[in-house]
Amino acid sequence: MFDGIVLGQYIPGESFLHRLNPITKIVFCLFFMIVFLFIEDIFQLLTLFAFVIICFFISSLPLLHVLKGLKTIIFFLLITFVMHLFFSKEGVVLFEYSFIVITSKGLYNAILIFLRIFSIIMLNSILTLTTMPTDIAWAIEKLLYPLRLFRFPVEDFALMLSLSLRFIPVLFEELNKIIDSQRSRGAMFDSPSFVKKIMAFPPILIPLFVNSFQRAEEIAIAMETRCYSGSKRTHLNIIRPGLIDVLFFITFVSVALISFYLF
Amino acid sequence: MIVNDTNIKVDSVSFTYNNGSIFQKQALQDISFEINNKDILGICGNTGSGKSTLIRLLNRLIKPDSGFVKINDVDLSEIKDPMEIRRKVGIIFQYPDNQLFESSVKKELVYGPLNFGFKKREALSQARDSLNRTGLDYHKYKNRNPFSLSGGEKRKVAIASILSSRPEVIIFDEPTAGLDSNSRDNLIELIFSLKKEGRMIIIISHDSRFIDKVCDKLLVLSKSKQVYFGDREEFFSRFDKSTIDDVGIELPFEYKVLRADREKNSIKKIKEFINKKHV
Ligand SMILES: Nc1ncnc2c1ncn2[C@@H]1O[C@H](COP(=O)(O)OP(=O)(O)O)[C@@H](O)[C@H]1O
Ligand SMILES: [Mg+2]
Repeated sequence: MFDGIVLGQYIPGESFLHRLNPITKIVFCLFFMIVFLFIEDIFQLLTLFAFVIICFFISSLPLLHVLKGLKTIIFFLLITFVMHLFFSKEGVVLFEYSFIVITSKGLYNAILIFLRIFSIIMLNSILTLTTMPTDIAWAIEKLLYPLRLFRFPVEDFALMLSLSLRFIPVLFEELNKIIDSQRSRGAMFDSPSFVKKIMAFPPILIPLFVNSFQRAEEIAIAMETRCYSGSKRTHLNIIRPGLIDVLFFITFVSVALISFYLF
Repeated sequence: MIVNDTNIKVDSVSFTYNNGSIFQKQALQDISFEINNKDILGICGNTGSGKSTLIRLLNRLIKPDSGFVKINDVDLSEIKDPMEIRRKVGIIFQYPDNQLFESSVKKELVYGPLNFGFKKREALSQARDSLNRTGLDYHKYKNRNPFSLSGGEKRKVAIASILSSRPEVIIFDEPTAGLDSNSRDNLIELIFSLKKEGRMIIIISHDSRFIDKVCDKLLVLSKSKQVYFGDREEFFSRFDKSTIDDVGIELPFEYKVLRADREKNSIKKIKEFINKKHV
């Protein structure tokens, strides 16, 4: 039922992007996301979009698989695209048929919005698909270090994050098992009736929540008995930035600069 | 009481999870066996060998990629309404925590029967009988909250919540995990009384002593393939020892003795034979 979900699923690989330091990847993602949000020029956007596509192919991720996993998001994006296309009334009229009017400005905005959001989603997919969840949590912890000055509990936050990421697959597995148990007792989750769909929620959600709370309690006890204290946590694997990180940094800063100069 | 025969036929069944994606994983390859309600079937194999996948096929929670599953000579993939199959085939899954959700034991027990279209009165009386059979007193437990029960009690409620739909085929997934020897004996008794009523019983288990006590036929899976199907006794007493070790089954003590004896005897016979020749 929940097969084919890509979001947050690490796909092991040997590519350049897999080996890149997670801190570099996160900074890069954040930087480009902000840039994408502010760009208003379609040619600048296209250059950066091309760069994202190149990154995707460098990552050697399976394109079809990723697109399949993103199909719901892409569907909503297409709706947004169509809305922009039909409801903008500014600019030159390009096409008119009874009540449908497409203007140059509408087309321009539609493409802009589509490319912008699609690029951001692709960037994030590249990040989460090429980086192990634990590495992402580790990198976020490092990036948040300065906040310790303001007494923000960075270590606890990072642990929370990595535990949650760690348990997403477990949760999905459990969800599948719960759905199986209830379906074999005659629950119909694929019924077209709206009322029946709503009725199907408690038999799934209640066991899921109860199990999660139980697990959380067990983890808390296990951590306490092993004397967990946030600030003295050590890491088993320490990741250091290497030459490739420096190279990558230089590349993406230059690409960004060049695209701004060119247009 | 079920008067007529029930039989299940699985023929060259294969199944792959997430077929066509990079997470593709073959779980069953070319599985074939046939069983009726005169025999209790045990399914063994290491974790990940495909046991749970196989029983999901029997309930049509999934459909085979190739081959077919027939119950009473009807191909499951040709039945339009899966409810028809699930009413007939009850699965008691390994973890009761994955199914308990109602606010009282009574509601939990009638959930299945009501879904399957039993009348409320029937459902209630079946719920009462089922819980009593597992050894919990219905009147004492019917208003308890399932979440406040102990592990053993939860398991009994889960078992009763399947029995209350009166399935013809009952499948247990790892029923002995975490049971003390007393509850184990009770479970064995329950299984035999269900069999006597003419219900077909299938049991997934790692526990070779339990299997030896309960099952007549044995299906052994290893890495999604079928290693053995046939008589339980035959498997334990004669099947190749190194393969048995590979699939992670511990021989019950009697069979170890039996095998050792046989070995000694055959060595003795060979010696006698040699001695005779020399005389
Ligand atoms: N929902 C699923 N999605 C993908 N793979 C699965 C799923 N369920 C089981 N598998 C895989 O199929 C194989 C067989 O699993 P399973 O039938 O649960 O084995 P068993 O019950 O013998 O331990 C395992 O390798 C397991 O990882
Ligand atoms: Mg299993």
